[in-house]
Amino acid sequence: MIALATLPITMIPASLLTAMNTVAMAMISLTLTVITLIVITKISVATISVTTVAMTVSSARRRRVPSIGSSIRSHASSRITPRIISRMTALLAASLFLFCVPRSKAAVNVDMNVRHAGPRAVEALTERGILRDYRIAWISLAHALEFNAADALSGPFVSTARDTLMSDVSSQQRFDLSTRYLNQNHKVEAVYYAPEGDVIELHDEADYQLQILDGGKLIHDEHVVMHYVVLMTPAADHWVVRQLQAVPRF
Amino acid sequence: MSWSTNTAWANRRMRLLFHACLGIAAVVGVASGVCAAQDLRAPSAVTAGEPATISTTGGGKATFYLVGPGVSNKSDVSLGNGIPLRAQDLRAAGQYFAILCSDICHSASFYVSPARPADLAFLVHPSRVPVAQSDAVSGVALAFDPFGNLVLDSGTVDFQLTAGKASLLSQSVPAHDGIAWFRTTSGKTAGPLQVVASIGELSARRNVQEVASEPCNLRITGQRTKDGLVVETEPVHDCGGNPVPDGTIVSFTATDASGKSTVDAPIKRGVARAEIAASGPVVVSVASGVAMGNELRIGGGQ
Repeated sequence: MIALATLPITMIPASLLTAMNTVAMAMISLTLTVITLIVITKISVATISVTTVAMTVSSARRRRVPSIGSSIRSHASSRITPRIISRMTALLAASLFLFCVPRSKAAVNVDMNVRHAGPRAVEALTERGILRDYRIAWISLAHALEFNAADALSGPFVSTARDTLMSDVSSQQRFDLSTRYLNQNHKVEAVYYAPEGDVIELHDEADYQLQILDGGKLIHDEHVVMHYVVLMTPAADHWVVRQLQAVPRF
Repeated sequence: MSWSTNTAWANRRMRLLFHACLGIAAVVGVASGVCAAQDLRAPSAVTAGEPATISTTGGGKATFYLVGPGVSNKSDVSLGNGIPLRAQDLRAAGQYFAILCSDICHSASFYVSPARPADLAFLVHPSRVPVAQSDAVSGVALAFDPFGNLVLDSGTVDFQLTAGKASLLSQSVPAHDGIAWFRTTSGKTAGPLQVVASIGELSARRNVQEVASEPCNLRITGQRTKDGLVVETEPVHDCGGNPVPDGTIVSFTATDASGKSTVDAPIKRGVARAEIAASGPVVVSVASGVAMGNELRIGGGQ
């Protein structure tokens, strides 16, 4: 695990990252289950101990003899349980580390400026919604093109943007290619917001590490600065990307 | 240690040094030859839906990748020849990466720009609008090429608004970042409003139904019956003289000695009518929306 931590994310093959994620998720689930069981057991033991102590006290009162068995049981359980919990905590920490390592460089930072949008002013709540949904769109895009998972595209993208990305995924699948978008930073400026609020145009100056892989073998690795013209429209309860088009400059 | 060319062993050392230099030069030469062997040059300007060619230098076989919006291709190519890019692989506007791999990989990128406008997305709001409302009608036009790319330099969009035979608006708006828009006051006459956006020979047409605004100058008449009284409005119009549509609610309020009672009646065939149970002297008032009408006083004997 330490070796993995020192290894740059770019050197880790996509298949290994997926495997790490799966193993980490399984470990987290297992650890949480074990901790829950321990807590439940502890509560049960405590209940039994209280009952036993009560019974022992009553019988001791009757017989005037101290009970030894109950004190041994409570002593043993109090000695073993902290050890198990500390081990489980360590396992949980390791699992979380394993889970976080593959994601550490998959972050998507989005800064948005809506001051120059018009003719309609973008309200604060709308701005937050657009920022949230645009960020989700890029997370989904990166996931879909890295793991060739077309399902990730259905929510955040519609129309031409969705069709283009679906076509991307299917052609990547055909040739066993994948694309990674790492360390994404987006500086987004809203340049147009329709009078009725039914369409917003964004200019996104994005920089990220673009990696193209052929069956896990890195064939292209470049830090790129891209300019995107984006059209977003409101759906039932969120904003969707309708157009995502790279241009040489704004 | 000093170097001398006069000693017997110096000749051997110099030859060794010479051979080492030759070896290094050969390695450098081969390496640079390999690098130069698989260079590629991307086209400078490509339009969506048109074929293009990537030129390569060197010789031998290599693997060529084309990665761009909507396309990821892989093929074996012979270096030194041009690599044809098919029109169907260059339909989406955006940035494309051409990658050529043999021993090592080289890449070049290029942009595909949108083709000419072929489709006009035209959003007009609202679908129904009261007459004489300021900034009540708005429209947004976006031009797209045949492949669904947003045409950013679509030029000027002409907006035409006509109500019947009267021209309400004729405006040429230059598109900024692919978008042109207008906002205007609705017309004075109820009826269909035709809204047209056009770029060259490309046009999109939408209809907005202009309806009468709030009722204006409500006037009522009434007469007593044996059970009470019957009141009705004169034909209800807005301030522009447009008949208010049937179904619009008119409220009649009658005040007599026993108190106040209200009857809501929809407009039917231009007038609203209500029967009110009342005895003795009655004052009837009428309202619809924010408009108030005249008061009608009917005495007990009438």
